[in-house]
Amino acid sequence: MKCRSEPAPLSVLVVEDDPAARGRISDAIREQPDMCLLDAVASLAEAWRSLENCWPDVVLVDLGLPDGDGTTLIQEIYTRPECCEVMVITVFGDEGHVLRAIEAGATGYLLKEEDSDQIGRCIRQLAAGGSPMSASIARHLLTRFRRQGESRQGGVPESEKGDPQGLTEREVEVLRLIAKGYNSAEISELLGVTYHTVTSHIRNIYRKLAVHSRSEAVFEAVQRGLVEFGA
Amino acid sequence: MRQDLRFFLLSWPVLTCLIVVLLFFLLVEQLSPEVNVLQLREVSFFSAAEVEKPDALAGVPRQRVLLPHNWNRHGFAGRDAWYQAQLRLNVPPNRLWGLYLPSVGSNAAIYLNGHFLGSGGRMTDPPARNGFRPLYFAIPNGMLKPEVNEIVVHVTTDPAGRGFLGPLLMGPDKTLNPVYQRSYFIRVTLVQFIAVSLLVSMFYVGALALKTNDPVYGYFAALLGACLLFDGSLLFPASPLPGRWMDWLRMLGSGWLSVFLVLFLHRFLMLNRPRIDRYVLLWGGTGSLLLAFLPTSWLYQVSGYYWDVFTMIWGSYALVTAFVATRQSYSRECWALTLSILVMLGAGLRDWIVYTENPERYHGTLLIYAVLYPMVIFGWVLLHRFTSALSEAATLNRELEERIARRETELAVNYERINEAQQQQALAEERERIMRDMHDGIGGQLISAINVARKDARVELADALETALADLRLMIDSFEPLDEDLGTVLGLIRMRLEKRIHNHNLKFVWRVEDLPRVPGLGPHKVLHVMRIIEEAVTNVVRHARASHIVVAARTREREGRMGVIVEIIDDGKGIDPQAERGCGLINMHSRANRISAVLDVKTNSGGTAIQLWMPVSVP
Repeated sequence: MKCRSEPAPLSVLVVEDDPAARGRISDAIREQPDMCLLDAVASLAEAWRSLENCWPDVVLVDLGLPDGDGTTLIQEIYTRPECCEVMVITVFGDEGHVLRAIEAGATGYLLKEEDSDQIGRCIRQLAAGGSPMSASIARHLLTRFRRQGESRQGGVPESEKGDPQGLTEREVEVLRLIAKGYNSAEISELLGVTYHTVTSHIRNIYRKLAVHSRSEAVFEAVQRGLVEFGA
Repeated sequence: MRQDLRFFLLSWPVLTCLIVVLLFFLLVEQLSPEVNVLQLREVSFFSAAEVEKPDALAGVPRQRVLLPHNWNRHGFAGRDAWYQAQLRLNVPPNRLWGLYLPSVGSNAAIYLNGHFLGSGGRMTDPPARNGFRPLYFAIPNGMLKPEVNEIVVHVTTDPAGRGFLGPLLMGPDKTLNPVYQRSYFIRVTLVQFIAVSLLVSMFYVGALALKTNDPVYGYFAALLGACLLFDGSLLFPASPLPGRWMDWLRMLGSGWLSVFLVLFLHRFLMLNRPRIDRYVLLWGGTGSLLLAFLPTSWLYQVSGYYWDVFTMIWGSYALVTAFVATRQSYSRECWALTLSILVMLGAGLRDWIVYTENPERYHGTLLIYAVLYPMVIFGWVLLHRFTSALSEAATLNRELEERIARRETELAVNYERINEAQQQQALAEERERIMRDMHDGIGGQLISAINVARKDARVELADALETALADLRLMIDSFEPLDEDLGTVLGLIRMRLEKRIHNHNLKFVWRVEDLPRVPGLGPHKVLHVMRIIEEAVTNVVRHARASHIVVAARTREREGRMGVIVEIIDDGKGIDPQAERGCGLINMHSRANRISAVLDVKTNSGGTAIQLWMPVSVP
């Protein structure tokens, strides 16, 4: 059952075990006129209970939870048919945490120390389809996708959806500009496209990353005989 | 077909063969004497054995015979015989004269007009062997008389019945001596030379055989040994062995020559015929023993009709084998072998006819010379094989060494790469651990502390803590794996500084171009660069009163070296030269020095430009 009130507000679920941070973020969300805080929980179990009740538009999840890794939650949500945006809460926005979450299926990240305006803006952006990306993440993704492209010559299978795993030229251009420090507004000016196009590109890149990670996992499982097709 | 013919006819074996045959003809011709010497052909032959001195010839029955005279032919089976000839000179010569005996079996003593002129060595027990050795006796002045001169020749032989007397020639020393010298050279000196060559070659090939453990060399050395035996039997006129044993040695030489020829040929052509090997060895062994124990009366018959015939049969077999090999392989080597065996066989056959059938045994053996040509050919072919095998081994060795060297460098490179990868891996793991600790630990705690401070309205404390957090973030950023990309470094700084400048109504104008990799841009350098830029931006925020900060980065050459330059340009009021130089600029300079970068500060009333240049080429 999905709770969604058209046209607004956005319902948000916060999963964060640190009470102070949870409190701040919850307050920040409550302050926003176009958002409503669905629930603020401190563990995976509580999060699942809340999800069973009602499905939010956006989930903010911290990775270091007391009863497990937040990525499992992200992965599970990704498989569900209810379309839901997931943001991972991270202190530094460093590549390791963010990419892990993105691979699991998250579509954005939120810095822990952001003030309420920032939090609101980020969530709004995410719901609208934009995803943030830092220069270091862009740099990393460029290398990773290039390596994938090279190894694909060796016969790595295509995704289940049949999409090619590599990036389009536009996407590579966007990544390169981000890696040089340009923000989305400047990129849209440089490439002569709308802001929305740029953020969509970033979103797509994240999706491809998640899809590829997934398909890689499946491929490996099949290789090891753990999964049978058609089963 | 025509090409084959040309190949055969123009090849060097044929040419050398022709030359050799030609030489043989010349040799034979050399032995015939010149015109103005007297050849005594009609002589009296006394077969009585008990005659001791020429004086005792008076009443002994005689026969008129022609020289050269072969006892076997005429059925004389004795040991000693006497010849008497008469020479009528109208005028005794006033020059030195000589008496020349090209060949005698086996020794002769000459008496001229009752005087003993000379002999070819020992006359008894056993007599010297001069069958293949010319004899020359100089006649002292005055011994020759006008009218009739009586020449008596005492011929003795061992074993009995094998004697003969070749031509008897007399003439001026000046004319006859050179003939003798020539014959001596060909029959004695040359044969000695051949013996020495055979001996030396035999030792050399024997050494090769021992060194390479290849039987082909061993059999060749044995072949040379057999030839040496044959040669030796001709060389020692004063040998203590009875004639029968010397002849036995000669037979052994010629017989075993064919045995080892067959064995050598099998090894050389790499034919595996053990049955024939066994037969030929068996024949050689039993035949040698047989000949040793046969009574003398049978010896020469058996030798002539059994031993020598079989020798020639084996020789023919060798010839056919070599010929077949030539047809198969068309190699010049095989062709040379075939021809040399043919030459030997031809000489052997001729010798056999001379010794066994032909009464004129004084012609001597041709085989001893014929042997030289094949030996040289065989030796050259073998040596050629050996040296080419050596050079092939050397080449293979060298190739192997090269391959090993290449493999070693490959391995070294691989090890380097593995080492590097391992190092990188270790570093990355370390970084991740530290980051995670910071993320889960200090980071979260600082944020909580900041919040508490803000709640308590402790602004200064909150600011200080925030500065600490910001610095921590910078350090975390410097740990990120950035692939030596300066652009990404700038992007990270922007993210950290964006909020701060936004609060002061400043804007970044971003002008970062495609930059090459900056070698050595690891966490240490990155941190310094970030701090320099942070300091520059902080200065602008605090002092410059600008509205825009341009951050530009591009490639720039400096003093002939390629590099990248980062410029922080603001449109503020510039740095007042009078104002106290804050620690900021000094810090920036010292940081720039530490990372081998060049920092330039340009300022005027319209703004300030801070330029940081870093090299990209390794010096």
